[in-house]
Amino acid sequence: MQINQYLIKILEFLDNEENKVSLNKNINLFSFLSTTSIIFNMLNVFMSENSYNSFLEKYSIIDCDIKHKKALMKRKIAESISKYLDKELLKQANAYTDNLKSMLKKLHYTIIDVKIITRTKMLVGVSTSLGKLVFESGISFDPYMNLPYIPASEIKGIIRSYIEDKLGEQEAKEIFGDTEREGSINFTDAYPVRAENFVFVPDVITPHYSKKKSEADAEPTPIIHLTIAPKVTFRFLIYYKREDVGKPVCDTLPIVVIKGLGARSSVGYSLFELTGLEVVR
Amino acid sequence: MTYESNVHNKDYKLALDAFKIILQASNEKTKEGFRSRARDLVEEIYTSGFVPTFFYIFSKAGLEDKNKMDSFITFLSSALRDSPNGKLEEKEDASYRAYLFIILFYLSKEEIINNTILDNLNNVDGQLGLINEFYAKAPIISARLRTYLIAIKRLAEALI
Repeated sequence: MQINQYLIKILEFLDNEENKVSLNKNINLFSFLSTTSIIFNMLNVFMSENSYNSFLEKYSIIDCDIKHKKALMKRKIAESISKYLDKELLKQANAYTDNLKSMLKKLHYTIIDVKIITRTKMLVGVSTSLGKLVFESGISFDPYMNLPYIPASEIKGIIRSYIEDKLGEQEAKEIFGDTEREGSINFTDAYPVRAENFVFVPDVITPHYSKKKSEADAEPTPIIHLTIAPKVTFRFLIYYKREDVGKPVCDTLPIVVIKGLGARSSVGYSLFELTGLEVVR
Repeated sequence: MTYESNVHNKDYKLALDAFKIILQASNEKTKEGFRSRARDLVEEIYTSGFVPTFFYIFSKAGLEDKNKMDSFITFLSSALRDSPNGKLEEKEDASYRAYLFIILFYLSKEEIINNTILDNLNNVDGQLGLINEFYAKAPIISARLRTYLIAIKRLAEALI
């Protein structure tokens, strides 16, 4: 089979509502998006293919220029991805965290099991690769879990920065270590374990004035991209051996997540709420 | 000298050649844009794959415009005949054209793809052929391109 035939097969997933089920179950979202990006970026080539499929045919019927067609397709891709929700994967992520927890218990760690829920649309890893070749911005994505995630380094960084502000640099060094000494507290990546309706939701940002000198140059530039939907529960573990580091971190957590964990929190994105905090000794 | 270091030396030399051509053909703004392209596209090729990233660059290069396409092909073929002439104009998409040139220059000089493909870049059939060609040769391209593109990145960071 010619490669472009394979690429066109990919489109059927985007087009066909019945195949949505198999999109959820069998497709790796990361490779799906990078393959789709080829068709998106070379739309005029694929439209001229003789073996039309119904998805591309729509775009050849519409009477507008190629730029506009691409914009329409970009929106379509974003909408299809937002329907991507597999409860099974979320269960797997939960089981994975459970498993990790029981292993850490055997290693005699004290574990804090944290659950946080997104209150607003959330953005994390805007400059990473998921969908970057289509939307020019990304979302932190774990291709093996097939789920978006919040990197542990990000969680640790934000908690450290807050503790530095409140308790001073020395105290932060004591807990999180420095170039001389390793830290005494560990974090795991946060995976989504429950979602109300969707995991992803399309969104748009439309700068009018960025890099513009005056009113005469102002121009809206809509940028469609993906975000994590509100009401998605993320779960992660914090574990340590030294008992005294637990308290400052536990006290910090609720405040830090309310203030935002991720990008664009100054305009109300990426705000969380703490829904579960369980300490296991 | 080992086989491997021989290959790498050749890659560095080609990077130098290609980079010189780009420096000569672009103005300050394009150079700056090219520097950012050189800095992050290597990583993008690594994470998303060569073929998707290549066609992303291709689409960002603004080659749907017939004039730009024609001048790009003239520029590319003159450079491959070792007598580069022509300029990359001053638009934002020029930096993507420059990076596209960097990749195609290597693939052609190393004879991974042949010149008839490049002559047909301006038509739909040629572009379709390119997608198939790249998929067929993806393992070779991915294995070979990285050293060269990292060399380009270092040159861009050092000289622009």
